[in-house]
Amino acid sequence: MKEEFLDCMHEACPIPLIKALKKLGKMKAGDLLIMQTDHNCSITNVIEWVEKQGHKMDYMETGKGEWEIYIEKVVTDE
Amino acid sequence: MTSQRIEALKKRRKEELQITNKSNQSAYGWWLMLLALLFTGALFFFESSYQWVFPIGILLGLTLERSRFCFAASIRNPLTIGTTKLLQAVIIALIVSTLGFYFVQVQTIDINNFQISEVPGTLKPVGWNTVVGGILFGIGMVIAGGCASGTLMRIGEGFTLQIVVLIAFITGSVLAGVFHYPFWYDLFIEGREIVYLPEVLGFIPALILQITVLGLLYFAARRFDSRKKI
Repeated sequence: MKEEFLDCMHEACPIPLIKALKKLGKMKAGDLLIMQTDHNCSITNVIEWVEKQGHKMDYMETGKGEWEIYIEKVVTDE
Repeated sequence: MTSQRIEALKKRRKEELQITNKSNQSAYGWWLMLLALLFTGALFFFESSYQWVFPIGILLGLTLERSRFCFAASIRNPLTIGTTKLLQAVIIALIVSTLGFYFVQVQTIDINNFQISEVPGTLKPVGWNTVVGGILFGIGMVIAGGCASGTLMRIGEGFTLQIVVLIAFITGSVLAGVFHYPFWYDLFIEGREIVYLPEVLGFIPALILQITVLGLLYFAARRFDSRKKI
């Protein structure tokens, strides 16, 4: 049940999504990922992809124009 | 879709980061809206040819920003992560604008007897220059993190990183217009014929053909939205 941080502040598309992909690939089921980003395009991308993979997620605005995305990995890659 | 652990995590993070009442930016918003309204009023009062362009532009920008639309992501996502939701949205936008332009054009010209130069809209000859230009633009937009509309609306929202992109594309367009556009124009565009579908097929057949092709592309994009993991 680990918690991982991923700092994607001041990165333009598609960097936050690619970083999240790689990080999630290394995590095990039940782990939580906290992603910090300030790019609103990433929110749509990451959320769309994460829901498709079957993970649970939510996000919250933590500052002016900064968001944190919380992802709980549900499925393990084979 | 959230879960109990994520809800608990959110609460914890809220405390950790001490987010109570974020400073309110609404005041800035109302003042800017007032300025925009006044400016629009001035444009109408002086009967500027841009009088509709400015308010419609503001409304479009708001729509893009609230819906988190991104043209660059619509093309890039199917190739990197296999999602096509944005591409479907762009195709729908193309269908709507096809219909819109159809109505604008048939109202403006005499459909049995017209010159291409009278038709409202930008009609240019297509050629290898279009392909090469598209490839260059695609490479640039993925590196820059967005194309013109996305960059502008994100800067408006406050993501100032892309001001670099704004400066770059203004510089590029000015340099092109001043120095090398006439060169490329003479080489590729001068004297070539413009193929305008309604002229070749007639307005209604062209409309039906375009909407059918776009509709098929839309359904193909829906099917392609991959269910597998990438």
